[in-house]
Amino acid sequence: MIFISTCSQDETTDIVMRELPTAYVLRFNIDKPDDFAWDFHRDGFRIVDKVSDKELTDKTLTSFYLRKPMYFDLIDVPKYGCVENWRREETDELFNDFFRECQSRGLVTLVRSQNNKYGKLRQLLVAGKHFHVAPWHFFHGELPAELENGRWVVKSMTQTPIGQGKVFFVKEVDPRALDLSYPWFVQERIEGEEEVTVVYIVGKMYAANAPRDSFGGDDSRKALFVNPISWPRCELSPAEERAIKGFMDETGYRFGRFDFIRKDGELWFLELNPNGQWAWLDEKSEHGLVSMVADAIKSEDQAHRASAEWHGDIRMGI
Amino acid sequence: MTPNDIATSIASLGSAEQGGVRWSTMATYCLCGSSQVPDDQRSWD
Repeated sequence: MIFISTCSQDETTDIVMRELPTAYVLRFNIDKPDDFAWDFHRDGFRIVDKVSDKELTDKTLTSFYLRKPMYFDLIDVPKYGCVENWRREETDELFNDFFRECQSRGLVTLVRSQNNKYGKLRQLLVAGKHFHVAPWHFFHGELPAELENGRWVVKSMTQTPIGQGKVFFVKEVDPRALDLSYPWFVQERIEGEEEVTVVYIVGKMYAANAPRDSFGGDDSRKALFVNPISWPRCELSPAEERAIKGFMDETGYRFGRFDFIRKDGELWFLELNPNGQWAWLDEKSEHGLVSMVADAIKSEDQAHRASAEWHGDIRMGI
Repeated sequence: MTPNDIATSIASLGSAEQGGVRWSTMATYCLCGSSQVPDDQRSWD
């Protein structure tokens, strides 16, 4: 049985689950603990979906697909904590540890925990070996001389809430106006024709594009709020596919969605999103992306089931 | 300019109809995230 850990409003999981055998999947929504019962003990574990009565045990687990949890009901945590946040943290830690144990037993699919993870800085350093990369700076305290001229956009490294009901989009700024008491991440603005996104699925690739002028700004996500644009499937050249594979091989990721800008026919790297949303590119499962991901999950799950070491006797605490 | 001067108010964005509503919600939370997301998953956005 495939165990998917996610949140209740993860649309990408909703869509990919349509192509997985329903009876063979248990979806755990980490933001809805009241819908589930669980017991991990020295001899094994049992997880029950109380809504569907579906049950997963150490005897039936074959694969763990970890989705990134997002909490729609953010907890306003006071300085010394609160019991609601304590409950969430305890649940998070248990299932993250369960995931790591499954990974150590070779039972995870697509997404793996990266001890040697690549954040924005490391991605840009590696990307320079494989793609065009616009000049960038992470800086604080002093304005780098290169930023005195040209056009630059500001980005954020993390998803940390900024407060006041605001979100941090990519935005063009005059770096000379930035308050240098904050840490900044800026990159030269790329004047490209289109944005290209590529989903990498264990060696296979699905590419889609959208014209830059359809976004109404520098951040493609902003268009999702006002006028959803379509992202038709597009082709990559063999050289581009080799570059993408080279980046993934070097970083160790097996799955992820790249963002690029195409300028004068060439790909310029923006970032890799290793476990975010991707199913809006094929919301009706008609372009092949959802099938590619579902097939990869099923294929890896089949391999797990065929493993004599684990088949039918996956025990905890050994 | 501080980060607050650069960030965009969610309320000012409005929301698209049909499928855009759901994906805009996801995008909001992809952007906002949560302080509770474990460190080893924070890079998986």
